[in-house]
Amino acid sequence: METDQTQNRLTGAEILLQSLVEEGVDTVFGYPGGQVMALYDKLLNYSDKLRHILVRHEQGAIHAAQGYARVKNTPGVVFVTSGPGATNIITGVADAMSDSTPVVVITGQVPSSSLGTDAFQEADIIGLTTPISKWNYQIRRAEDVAWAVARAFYIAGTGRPGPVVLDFTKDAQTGFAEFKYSKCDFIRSYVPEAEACEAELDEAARMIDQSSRPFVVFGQGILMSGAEQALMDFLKKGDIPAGSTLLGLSALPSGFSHFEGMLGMHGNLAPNVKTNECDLLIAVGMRFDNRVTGPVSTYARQAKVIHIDIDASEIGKLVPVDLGINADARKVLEALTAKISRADRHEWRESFRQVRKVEDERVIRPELEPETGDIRMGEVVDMVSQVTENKAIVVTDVGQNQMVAARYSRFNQTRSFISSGGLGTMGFGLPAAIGAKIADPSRPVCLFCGDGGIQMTIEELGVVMQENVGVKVVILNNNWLGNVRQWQEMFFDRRYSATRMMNPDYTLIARAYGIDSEVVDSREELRGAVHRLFADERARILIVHVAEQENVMPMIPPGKSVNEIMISETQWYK
Amino acid sequence: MDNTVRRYTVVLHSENQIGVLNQVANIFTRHSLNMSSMSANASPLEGIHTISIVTYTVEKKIIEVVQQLEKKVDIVRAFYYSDEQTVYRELALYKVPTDKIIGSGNIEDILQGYYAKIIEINRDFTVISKVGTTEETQQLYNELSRFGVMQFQRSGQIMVSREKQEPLYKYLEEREKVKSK
Ligand SMILES: Cc1ncc(C[n+]2csc(CCOP(=O)(O)OP(=O)(O)O)c2C)c(N)n1
Repeated sequence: METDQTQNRLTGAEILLQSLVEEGVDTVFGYPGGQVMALYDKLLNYSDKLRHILVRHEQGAIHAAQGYARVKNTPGVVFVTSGPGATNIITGVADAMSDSTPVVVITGQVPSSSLGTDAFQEADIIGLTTPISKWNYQIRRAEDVAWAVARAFYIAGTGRPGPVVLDFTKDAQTGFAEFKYSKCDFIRSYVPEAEACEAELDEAARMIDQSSRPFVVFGQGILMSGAEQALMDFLKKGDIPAGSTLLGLSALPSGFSHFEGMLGMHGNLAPNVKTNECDLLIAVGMRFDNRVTGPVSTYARQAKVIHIDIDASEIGKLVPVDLGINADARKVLEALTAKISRADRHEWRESFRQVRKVEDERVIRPELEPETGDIRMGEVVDMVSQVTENKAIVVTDVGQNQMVAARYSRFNQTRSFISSGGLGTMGFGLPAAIGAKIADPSRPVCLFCGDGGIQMTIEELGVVMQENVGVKVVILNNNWLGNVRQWQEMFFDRRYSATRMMNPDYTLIARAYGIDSEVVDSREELRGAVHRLFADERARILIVHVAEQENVMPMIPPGKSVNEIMISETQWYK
Repeated sequence: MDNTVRRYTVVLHSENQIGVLNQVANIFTRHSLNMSSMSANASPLEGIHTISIVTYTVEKKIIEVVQQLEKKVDIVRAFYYSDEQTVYRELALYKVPTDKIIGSGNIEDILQGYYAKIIEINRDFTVISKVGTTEETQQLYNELSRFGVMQFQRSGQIMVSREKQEPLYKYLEEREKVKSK
């Protein structure tokens, strides 16, 4: 440790690193540069405590930190330099904000004396990230470093989690201060979590007991509050069916008796249709994204609505509620389970079966078990679930690959599905998968991505190579920007503007990075190839040539309500 | 909830941090709301600033804005009020040519009628101040414009609520109790 001999003080850079250690951080994703030289210099002394993953582009660092955070449920940490380094993480900050992912980003900044002068590589990162971060702060003095880091971790990880940006001026990195760390557990202006009051819980229990057709819609809040078991107990006691948002997937095991599948535009038929038939909608840890609700004027109008969320500003924001409970999902569900009566609603639950049957016959079976024709994306996803025995962490990019992976992956463990939901960021997949694998090397991590999205952050194969990250990458190659092509086919008269894409030879790219790869062209090769994909711990890329013009079905077309669903390009449900 | 566009005042108390105003402005911008008046000042409590903003919108939107403001880490509390719920005032200063108003003969009557005061007078110009609502300060402006108003400025509006409300210091005391638990 470099200390100011007379007073036993450390530099700001070292205080930051010490503070991270105090917060239990063991991994940092980053990229060096001029305004973080002092920080990276001190980082060398911490190689036994902090593993630094050198990404190939700063966007990769933040998505990797997001993947890491989603698996671990603790903040992911990012170091980048000022100016271009900092602006390169903007997409990831916005993504983490949308998806409530805890990350702490440390950006370098020019010396405080140069702030506002258009100094070399100065960008106003506080101004740029204010609308897209949960909190940000510019550290201008070494004395403030420990305080700011403690606050950053408290804010990022508590309440509704989110990204925090600490902008760290060069002089604050090199200045000296005394190091004394105390974790933050209170900020007077910040109330991360309210408590439900007894009257609200009683009222909710009364509404549930009186309901004959209650339906639970849940989101990522279940995973974040650790409410998986509480939700299962609640559903079983009340005999209540439940549907999940995209980000809520894997909170319940796929085979769980009361789990009815995914909600939303490409979700399952039953949970969408039943949303508009239930008499009580109980929303837990979800925010009624418009990809889930369609036009809110047609969403669950027949039902009473209870909304349970840790974020008060979400309650009533989009869907009018009869009862809002602003509190932690697990605590509320546990309290409600104790209060509701044990019920038998098998008739109501049985009615889901009927709809499910239609989807099975008309959509799922043709997708998963086609006998002829090109390979369908669903077959590939299904094969991965079979081969991994539903044990993999599934990471997706954005587009058709994402929707198909969400629809057909099966899970038997929580925190197993990682995807960019709210922002829908192409390029999220590969770095997020790297972060996920680093967070939990003991589990297989499988990325599904399109030929478009993989090329947005393909440079991160460099990390896979350098750090030996055993991710399994499945490129569902359709030679199109498939999701956009689907919309052009269905809603823009097949006018295919800028969606046809010429691809490189991915096996050569893989080879350049020293990563094994394999191409699958026909159905017969698929099973063997997927087995080889998971045969060992090493990274591997599987390029599957899938049907070029597959459409993801079912689909609630934009502007339609949750019970107006297309089950093929020409047919509507019912 | 009705869809009438009304004049609302948003009042928020925040930590005195750099950039809070930017955070507030961002939230208004996101909801495409114009701030028709704004005032930001120190509160009597150490480290706490009070900002009040007047805007025209529907109630649903103002609720959203207030909830999102309150969610910001550095903002302690935020409230909104319609005009009936508040006593509000702004301050206006008028600079007029001294010779013109002396020549008019009836300036004393005008000022009395408007509850306005002369706060500085010299050979070239006279400064008049008035406290009131925007309409009232505007009326005086119209009245004085025949003398030629050389300069005019009104402050942001400040307000107190007509309703019983927990004082901020009490709220902060409660928060501190949570901390020590
Ligand atoms: C950064 C970014 N740019 C553009 C889009 C819009 N977009 C959504 S899906 C999609 C096509 C994705 O194509 P591909 O990666 O090949 O996946 P596929 O849909 O074929 O599975 C595009 C362009 C986006 N979501 N993110």
